[in-house]
Amino acid sequence: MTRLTLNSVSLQLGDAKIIRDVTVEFRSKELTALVGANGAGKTSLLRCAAGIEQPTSGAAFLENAPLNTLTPVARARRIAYLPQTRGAAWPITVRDAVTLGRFAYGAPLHETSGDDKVAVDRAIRQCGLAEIETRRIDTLSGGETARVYCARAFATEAPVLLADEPIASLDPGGQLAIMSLIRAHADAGAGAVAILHDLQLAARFADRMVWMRSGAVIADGSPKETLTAQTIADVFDVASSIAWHDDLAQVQFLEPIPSA
Amino acid sequence: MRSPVNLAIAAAAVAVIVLATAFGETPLSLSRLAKAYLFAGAAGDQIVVWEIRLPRAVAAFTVGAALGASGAALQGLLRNPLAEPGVLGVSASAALGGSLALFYGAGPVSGFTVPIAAVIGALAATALLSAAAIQVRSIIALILIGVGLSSFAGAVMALLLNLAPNPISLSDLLSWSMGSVANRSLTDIAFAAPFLVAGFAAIAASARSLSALSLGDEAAAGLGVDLARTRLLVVAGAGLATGAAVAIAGAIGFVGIVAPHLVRPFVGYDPARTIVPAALLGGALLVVADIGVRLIPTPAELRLGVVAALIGAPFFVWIAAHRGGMR
Repeated sequence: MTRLTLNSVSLQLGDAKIIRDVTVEFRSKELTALVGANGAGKTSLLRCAAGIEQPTSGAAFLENAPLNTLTPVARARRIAYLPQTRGAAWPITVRDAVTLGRFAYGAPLHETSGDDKVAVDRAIRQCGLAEIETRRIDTLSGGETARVYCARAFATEAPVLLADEPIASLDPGGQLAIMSLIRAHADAGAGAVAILHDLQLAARFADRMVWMRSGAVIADGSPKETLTAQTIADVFDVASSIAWHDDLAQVQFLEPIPSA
Repeated sequence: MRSPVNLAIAAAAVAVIVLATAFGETPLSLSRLAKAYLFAGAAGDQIVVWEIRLPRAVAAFTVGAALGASGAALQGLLRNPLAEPGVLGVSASAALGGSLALFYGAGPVSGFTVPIAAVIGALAATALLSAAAIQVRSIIALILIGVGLSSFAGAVMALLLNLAPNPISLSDLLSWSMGSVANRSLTDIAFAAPFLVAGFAAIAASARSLSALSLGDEAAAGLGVDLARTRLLVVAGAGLATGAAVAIAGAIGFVGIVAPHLVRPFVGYDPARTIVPAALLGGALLVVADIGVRLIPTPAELRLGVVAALIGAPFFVWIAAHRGGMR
């Protein structure tokens, strides 16, 4: 059981208060959807959880160890961080891109061996990339590229996965494919956190939804508990109606709520 | 290191270095050359080969290797194939440092004076560029800063030429700013060697992190790359190596862009695996260019830096024009 805890984390950049006193815990086998309006501090919170950003106050802990006491390599072996995807600088192959997930274990890009080879092969198989593992990544579609980055994160075999908008700009098939992969990853034992904008997909795949507004967490619970018209109004200033069909939520956004 | 690509380029480099010693004012046939190498030839031939031409070829190779490795490392760090010591103004800044040392007549004090001055110039430029790289995040802005650095260094060089007290120092400065390996001795190389070794070591230590940087700063940080350390290693490594290269030969541009570009397809575009073959090829290319300098019949011997720019600058334009979609 792995726990990643943020304890009273605040982040201030210049005069801007990006994160305000957030305490939250992420656990293994659990997929958490981090939702909120643009600029609510979701990415910054994820970066603090990944140990890439140092909170202004408060701290992030992996088990009981403060993240900032771990070396970058030790941290990267425990936490796989998937930032919003940007194009790679060089047209490396799919297999090389996945192998970069083994960076913290010292794997060179060519000729993986031992544990590295096992992990890379498994990640490639899981994400359905076997057919295209020798392709250059600049020749892939958006959906294929997203699967490559997922495989890169899985190859790390870290107990925690933090993904920043892993399904942004994918078509419906691509979105479902990536969400299924992350769900399976959590079922296999990892703790997964994904920033998502699609509330319906979040409710369908996640065990838990953490709602942010203006740098603070204002709701945290199962989709059934927290996905309500009231929460949506509080977080997005939008009126909505929600219908549940068994475990599937159907969300209709009605109109913006004028600010008081 | 022991990949077929590296072995092939290394073999080619040795071949062109040997070939380079056959050319000069007195061309040597292969048999005379072989005898001179085996200390079995005429005394004059042996002196020409061992004390004049071989040091010159080794100097050309060393300079090219330093520039090739620096280019590959800077390109990996900045994630752009157009980054290069010459384009970014590092060479010009190093040349300025060296020129100032020459101008103020510090040369004879110690053989290390000019290399140290050139390395300081190069390090100042790489440090400024890396500080700017964090701020601007755009390669275009960075290259423009490099252009500014080059122009400024060029202007100060022109000022030094303007103020040069006598024709001898004028010609010293001029030959320095055009770049050449003619009449270089092993002593010149030896004084630059410590900086070269330190530079190569720093670049080698950064290699793996450069592979991870392919996916961007943010992803690399998540993979366990220490960004600050990587930046420092590349900046220091490229500064030391370029400074040392300039100390030997003056400012020679574009090797650092051509060599990495040519080897990249053979190493799967992996920045870590680009460095060694780019160094070997950079060295070989400069040796070949230095043969060209001697073969092309011109009234005065061509300068190596001039030839390198004549070939390299159009190549730079070609790469810039064909980059298309890749950011």
